[in-house]
Amino acid sequence: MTTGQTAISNGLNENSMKPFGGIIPDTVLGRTLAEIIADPYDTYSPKKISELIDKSPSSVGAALKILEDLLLIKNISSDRQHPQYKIINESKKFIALSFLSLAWVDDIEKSNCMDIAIKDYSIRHLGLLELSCIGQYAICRGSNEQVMIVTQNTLQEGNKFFQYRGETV
Amino acid sequence: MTDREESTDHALINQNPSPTATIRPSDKWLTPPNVENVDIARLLAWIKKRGMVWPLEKVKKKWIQMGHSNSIETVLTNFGLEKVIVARIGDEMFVRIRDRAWADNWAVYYGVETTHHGQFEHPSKRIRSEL
Repeated sequence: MTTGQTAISNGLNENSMKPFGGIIPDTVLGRTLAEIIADPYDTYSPKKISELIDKSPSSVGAALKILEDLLLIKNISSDRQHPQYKIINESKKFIALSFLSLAWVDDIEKSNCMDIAIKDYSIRHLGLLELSCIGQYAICRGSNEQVMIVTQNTLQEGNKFFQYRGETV
Repeated sequence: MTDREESTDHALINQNPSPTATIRPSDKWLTPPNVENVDIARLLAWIKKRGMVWPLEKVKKKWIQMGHSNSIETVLTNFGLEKVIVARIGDEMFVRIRDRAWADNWAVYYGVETTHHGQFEHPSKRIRSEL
C-alpha cells in the first residue's frame, strides 16, 4: 500500500461511507438526509440527489417527501412534476443534525470540528463575543463579524475600543 | 495609533496563532472572496461532513452540480498533499482532507459551517451582490 493509500484509508471503517457514520440506517432516506445536511446551501431535486447517492430518482423523491413532512425541507417549485427542495433553515432539527454530522467525524478523527462549528454558530447567531488575548493585546470578534484589537489597558479603562483597520482579521 | 504600534500588531498576529488570527484559509487566499472560493469552502465542508473521505467520482459530480466546468481534482491537488490527498484504493479514487484545521478555517471564513436566518441565500449569490 502506498503512502497516499495509507493516508486515505486511515480511520476508515465499514461505517465510514454510511449516513452519519452509521448512526442513521443506510437507507435512501438516510443517504438523502446526509446529503442535504452536508451542503444545506443547494437546491435539491430527486435527480440531483440520485446522482450523488446512487439511488433511483423515484425512491429519492419519496424520501424527500418524508423530509418535507418532517418540516426539514420545503418545496420551492410551483411545478408539481419537478419539485425543488431547500432546507428550512429555521429548523432546530437541521442545526442539530449539522452538528451531528461533524460529531461522528470528530470521534473517529479525534478532531474538534463540531466544537469550532458550535463556537462559530454562537458568535454568528447568538451574538456571543469571542475574546482572545495575545500578550498585552486582546482580539474581540463579535456577531457583526467585526474584529477589534484592544490593549489590555484599554480594556481596563473601559469600552474605548478602536477598530483594527476596519477589516476582519 | 502610530505606525510602530501597527507593525507590532501585525507581528503579534503573525507570531501568535489564535482562533481569530487564523480565520483566513491561507495567505494565498487573501484576495477578496470570489464565487469559486465560496464553492470550494462549501465542497470542503461537504467532504468534511461525509467523514473527511469521499469518492472522487462523487466529488466531481458535486462540483459539476455546483455549476463548475473546471477539474476539481486539479483544484484539490493544487492545495498540496499536506492539505488534501487524492489517491486510489482498490478500483476507486478517494479524496481525503488531511489538514482539518485548514478546512475548518475555510468553512468559518466563508460562513458555510452552519446556515442561519439571515444567511439562507446561497453564499455565492450574496458575494455576487457585494462585488
